[in-house]
Amino acid sequence: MIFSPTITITTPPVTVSMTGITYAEFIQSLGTFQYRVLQFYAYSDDINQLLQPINYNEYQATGNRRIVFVNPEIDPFQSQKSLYKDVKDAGIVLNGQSNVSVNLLPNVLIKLQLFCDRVRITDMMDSKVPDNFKSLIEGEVVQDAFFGDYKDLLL
Amino acid sequence: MMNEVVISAKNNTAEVQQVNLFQYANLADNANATTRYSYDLTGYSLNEVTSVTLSVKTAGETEYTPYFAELIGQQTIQGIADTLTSLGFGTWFVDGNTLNLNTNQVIIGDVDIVYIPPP
Repeated sequence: MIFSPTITITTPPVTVSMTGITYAEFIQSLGTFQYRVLQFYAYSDDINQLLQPINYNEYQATGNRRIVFVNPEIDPFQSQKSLYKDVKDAGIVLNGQSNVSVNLLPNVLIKLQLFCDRVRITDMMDSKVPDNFKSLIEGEVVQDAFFGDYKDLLL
Repeated sequence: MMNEVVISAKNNTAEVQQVNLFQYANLADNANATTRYSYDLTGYSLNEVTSVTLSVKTAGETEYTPYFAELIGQQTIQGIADTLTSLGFGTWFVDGNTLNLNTNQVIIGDVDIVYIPPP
């Protein structure tokens, strides 16, 4: 039996926002930057939300998939609606081929503050030759060589 | 370089919502989606459900592409929603007898619920 949809424009059932930049901008930045999550802070206006597991799903082009279940551990007697969780060893990387899946309880807000290492491909060049221009200026290529007298003009 | 990423997700509905965050160009990443597709299943018997076909197209295409999902032991509307969720087109949820989908990523067409009698 075929059912046709009724299409409506509604308030988003889930609203996602970020501090400083928009969510869409951050998603676009994943093409250049990668973030390795070391620790996160979670806050919610409902303490039951903190008990919901946070699943990290990672995909590869080959189709392999890795799922990490981040189980929040809160003190059953705590009254604070927040927790810190160390996930340094979980290998959680935001690189565009992964996502963080959360079950949101009805009418509940959750705020995640991720403490990350941010890397990009060009960082590798900086680590290999951290002062490449300095060594170029002071090195024999310019300073002591044939073009030494012209170094101010060249650089 | 140490960095902080701060993200907030708010559920505006009275139902549990599953949301996938941080995935680049993911059809299931329907955070902030405002287009809702509702399928009224009132009066339909779910005792005979064996499979669901969902027709999908992206903006600019003229024809829908059918996607097939098999139901195993699912004879409730929620079961159909869970099965369709596995296709990755938006996030489904049930409100009474209505199947609801929220997505801004693709254009969703008909849902075909099929009973295939045993041989």
